[in-house]
Amino acid sequence: MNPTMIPIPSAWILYLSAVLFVIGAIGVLLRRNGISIFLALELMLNSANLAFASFAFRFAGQGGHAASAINGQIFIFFIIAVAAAEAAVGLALFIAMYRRKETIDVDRFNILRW
Amino acid sequence: MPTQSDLLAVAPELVLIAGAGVLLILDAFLPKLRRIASELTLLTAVGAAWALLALPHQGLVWSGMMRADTLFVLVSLCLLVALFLCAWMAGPYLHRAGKETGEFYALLIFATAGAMIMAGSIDLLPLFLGLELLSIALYVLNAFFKDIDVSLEAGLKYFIVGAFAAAFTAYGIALLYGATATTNIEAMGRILAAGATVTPILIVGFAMVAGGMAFKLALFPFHGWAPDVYQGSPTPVTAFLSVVPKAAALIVLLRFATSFDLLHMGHSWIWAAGIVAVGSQTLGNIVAIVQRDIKRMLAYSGIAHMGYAMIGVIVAGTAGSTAVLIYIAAYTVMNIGAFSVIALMSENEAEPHLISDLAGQGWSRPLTSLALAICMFSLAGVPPFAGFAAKFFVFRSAVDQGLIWLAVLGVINSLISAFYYLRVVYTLYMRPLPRRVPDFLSSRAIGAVAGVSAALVVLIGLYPTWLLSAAHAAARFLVR
Repeated sequence: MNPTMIPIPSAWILYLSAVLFVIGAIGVLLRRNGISIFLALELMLNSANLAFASFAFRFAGQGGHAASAINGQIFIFFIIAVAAAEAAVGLALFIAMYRRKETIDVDRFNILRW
Repeated sequence: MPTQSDLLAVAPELVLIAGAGVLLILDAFLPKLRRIASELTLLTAVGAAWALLALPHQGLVWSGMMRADTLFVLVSLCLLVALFLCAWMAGPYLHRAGKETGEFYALLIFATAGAMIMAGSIDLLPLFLGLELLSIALYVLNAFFKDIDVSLEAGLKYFIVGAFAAAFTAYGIALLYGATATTNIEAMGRILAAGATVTPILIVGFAMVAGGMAFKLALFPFHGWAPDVYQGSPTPVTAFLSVVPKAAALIVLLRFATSFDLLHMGHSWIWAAGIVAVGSQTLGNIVAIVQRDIKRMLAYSGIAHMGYAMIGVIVAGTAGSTAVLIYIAAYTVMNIGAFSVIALMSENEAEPHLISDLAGQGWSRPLTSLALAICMFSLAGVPPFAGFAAKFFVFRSAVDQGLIWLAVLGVINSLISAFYYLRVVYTLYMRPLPRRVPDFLSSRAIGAVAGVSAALVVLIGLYPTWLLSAAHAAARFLVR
């Protein structure tokens, strides 16, 4: 069969989302620069979006689950909005940190012991 | 199509959000009215409580996304009491720091509304939105004293950890949705009860959502943020943070546990959750013993207390849910009571709040010290106080379900915890006043918060029956 006719299996998209989630989680744990941590957090939230999209894609293809597909797609929009709100607060915190420390290296902020 | 009963069901949240909006506008356009912001917040909380109790609530609303049941009413009442007491003590606290602003109170109110939405949701979509409304408001509140390093650090740490947990929750919700084709907790429960196979995707998804809640509850092994955030946040925020997100997260776990019937799903849940519960208790209690700062000590104590409450979540069913509800009510008043006295202790978060600073205060400030002592006895679980009733019902529910090991380990942990709680009482009454007496604030409002909390602690401890019957009615709704 002509490869242009074979749809991408939804499982592949799910695997990609899982890989992105793990990369994001490792990034949050290992990176020390505020902006890098931030990007890693966004990657994690957006990998959840991709997982929602892959499942919605699968349900849309199945007759009985067409209504469920919309549920997942709507969820994506809410996660995007929430991520934007979180970004606003997070960046404000990093700016406040930069004003006091002139750096956004989170290791410089450890007056309190972990 | 949304009906009027949908609107009635969220009337308390609407009152809260309207109140917060008014506060924000006043702050921007009528700065002279800032000094009554605290009073306006109290009024909003009372208005929301009226809307909660006076308006009729019936079952499923918003196309089955929320359940405005007795459970929701009871937990929301605890959340509103927490908002009321924290806003009341924040007035003089912010005044002393010269930071009286409307947005502090608006954020407190938004966070409470988020927690109420979480507690009322049975669909994961409003649940996630409520969680984020609660969390994002709290990130700002932690770092509210942004020119004090520890406060900013607390805000940053809570932000990174909280956003990390939120991402786990979101991905877990995606997996649950993929496994069951729905985002509704009760619908998932029905699918499982109908004999759907438990796939790895479902297990991983549930574990990630439960892990996200465990972050909010500061349960072992997700507790790392708690001591720093507790110590660095402004004390009224710490009091709020130690109660409100935890009550909401416990209700979410309870809804999962009853809908999925986790107790009868096999032993792996009981073992995993049991280890988390006992681990939290043991770690919290042992590390609390060596703390010199009272806010850090209460952070570890909070980790241990959520460990006890988890026993009720594991038992679930009517007995477990009733026990968790009583635990939430008791923990709300005793913890806020303790933090209100701590709010008097030092100028701001830049100074530590040492337990040794309390030496001899029992005789020079008899009333607030008595309130602190009552809260400490209650946290330790000494009989006539609320904390005893809370622990008693949790442990009894575990024994009734045959989970005797959980109850026994809980009781042993409770005995260990008495050591560090009673040490505070000992310092208050048995140690002499130091030559250089620490400069404590005297505030009638904060004293009143301490008094009201201590009175509620005694009331719940002496007459737990009214709370028990209310909690029992709420739990029956949950289980149905």
